[in-house]
Amino acid sequence: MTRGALLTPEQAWQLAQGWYKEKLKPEWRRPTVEEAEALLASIGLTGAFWNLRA
Amino acid sequence: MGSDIEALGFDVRLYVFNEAAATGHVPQPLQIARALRRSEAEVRAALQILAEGKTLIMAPNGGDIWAASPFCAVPSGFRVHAAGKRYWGTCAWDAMGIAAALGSDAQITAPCGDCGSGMTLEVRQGRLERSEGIIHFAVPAHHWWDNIGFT
Repeated sequence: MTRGALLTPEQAWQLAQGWYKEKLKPEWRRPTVEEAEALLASIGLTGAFWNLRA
Repeated sequence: MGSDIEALGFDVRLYVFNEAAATGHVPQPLQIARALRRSEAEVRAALQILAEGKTLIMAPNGGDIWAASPFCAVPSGFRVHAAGKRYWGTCAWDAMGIAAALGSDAQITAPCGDCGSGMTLEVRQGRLERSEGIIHFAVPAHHWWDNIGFT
């Protein structure tokens, strides 16, 4: 397996909350690329590995 | 027909995710069709649109839902106990996502990707109160949907 990227459990929890906290709500919509980038950056997930744009 | 199916997609989404949250089981097309009083073909068409929008994931080579993320439709090693029910996530991120989506205290057990032993995480009152280990992402973010099952 390639090395990939490592997160602390707290980072993963923050990511899970940001991504899924609203998922059951009727008004939920998939985050835009910009919103997803902002979420990743807010928990320190930056750099080439976390780049969402091909 | 197209706009009707898109409108049905909203009802299908609400039913699938609310049912998964309420029971721990992701409903499949026949159950959804019966619950919404629509044909199975219509429900499958709506599910296809939801899958194309990455709202949920269909099983490869089949018409069933594999994951209404964060809820996995099939048993996995990523188990969540919350609100007196058992859920499965497709990965550690999704397992935590179940606790986040439910807004509930939860105990999560996950297999270590290195040694296979169990890791336990606990969420209480919106906080990660117990954790161990690290979370590994093998696939770069812009390739996650090349093969979401592998990711």
